[in-house]
Amino acid sequence: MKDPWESAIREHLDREAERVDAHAMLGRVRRSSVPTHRRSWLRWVAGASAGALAASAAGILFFNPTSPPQLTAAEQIVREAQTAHAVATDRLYDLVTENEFPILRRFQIPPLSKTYRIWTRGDRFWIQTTGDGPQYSAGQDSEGRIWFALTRKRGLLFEPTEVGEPLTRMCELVSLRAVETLGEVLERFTMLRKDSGQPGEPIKIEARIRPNFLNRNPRFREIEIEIDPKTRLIQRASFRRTIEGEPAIRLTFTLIETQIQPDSVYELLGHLDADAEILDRKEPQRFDRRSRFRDEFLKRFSNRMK
Amino acid sequence: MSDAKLDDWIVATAPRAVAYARSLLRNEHDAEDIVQDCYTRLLAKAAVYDLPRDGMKLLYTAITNATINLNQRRRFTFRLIRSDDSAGEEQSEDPVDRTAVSPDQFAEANELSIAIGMALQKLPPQQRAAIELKSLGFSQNEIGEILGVSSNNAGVLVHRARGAMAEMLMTFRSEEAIR
Repeated sequence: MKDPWESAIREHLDREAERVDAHAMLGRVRRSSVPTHRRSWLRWVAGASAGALAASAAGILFFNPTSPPQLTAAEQIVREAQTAHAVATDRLYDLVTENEFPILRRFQIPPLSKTYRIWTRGDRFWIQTTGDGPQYSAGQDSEGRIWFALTRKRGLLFEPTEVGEPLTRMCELVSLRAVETLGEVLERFTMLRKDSGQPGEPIKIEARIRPNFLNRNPRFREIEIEIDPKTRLIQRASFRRTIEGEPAIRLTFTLIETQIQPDSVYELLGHLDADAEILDRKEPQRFDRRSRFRDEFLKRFSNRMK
Repeated sequence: MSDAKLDDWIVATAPRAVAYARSLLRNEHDAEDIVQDCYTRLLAKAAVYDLPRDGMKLLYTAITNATINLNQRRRFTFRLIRSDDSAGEEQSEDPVDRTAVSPDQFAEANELSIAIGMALQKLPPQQRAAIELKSLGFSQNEIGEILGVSSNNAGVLVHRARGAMAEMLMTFRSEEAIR
């Protein structure tokens, strides 16, 4: 009689095995395999002739549309994507942030998610909250200033020197910054193609940080990128951030459209009415109620980002 | 051996092989990479071996050796990284992915399966490999060959693993609970 623990372990392994895509593994193996069969030239010629005859008979001489295509290396694709994104065009992405703290998983609570719409152009971006919760816009302008439009009548503007590391990092995280991010992937990540390379299928690349001394504090540990096979633009990108070895947050960007936007959308003024109040840094500093509100806002927002 | 037969063999054996590697490594991506590498190396010798007939033992031997090697390299790297405590707020981390049980799995898998997964992770690597190989149907002799130990030692590893599992999973101890 079989030991009950062995049966239970077998069931556990079977359950794990169900999650494995065997055909994807086959594709990976076949792509990485170098034919090593030792055949004499005669056998090779005979085999090739027979193959050619069979192919002729089937009407698919020298071309088999179902044969696996030769895949371009992930590194090459990422380099091409970097070039494609170097053109500073306005792109709209849907951004979903999912808080994945282990305590949620421990109590079987699904990740807490928020959705945003984000326009990017190089280092500039502006983001708008969607769904439930407080609605506001925020962004970073051409001079690196970070702004918040709480309503059409009130905005906050912070100089790059005023904001601390948490808020700066948050801006880096949500603004995608494709060129820099892809450069980081090339330099510090191990990449693997996950698609089959069939025509029309998006190129899927998984990247994981190389576990070495220099990569102790990366912005992300794992990245999944889907790239348009024609334009080489990122269609979807999912970044997983971990803190202390535990998953913390996942950011997923999905490209919605590429469309030229006026410069003003990346500026605070573009999101306010003409008579709106702007709380910015004044020299010498004011010490009135509005100034205190501005300081308190920055403090609280920065604390949330820690 | 035709390519089609080898492909069938890979498709049939890959899921359990990846599950086994994943259990030894606790990292999905590394497990897949290792299994892919092992298949690739075996395919290079397809002319020598009859893989569908004899390949299982070779495959699991290759996977076991590769995972042990990787774990040893990791421990070394990990020690190097952890020796510096001046890291920022995100301290260097154990490269092992401790998130192997995803939220989806939590929702889908039953309680016993999760408990077994966790208990397996607490076993020493050789014991874990031994009991998993046993559950996959390998004989004591074969387990010994795969792990590079004598048949008797393989038996001891399985026995100890079984005892440790039973102790860790006291609440599921009765056979009825398992079934």
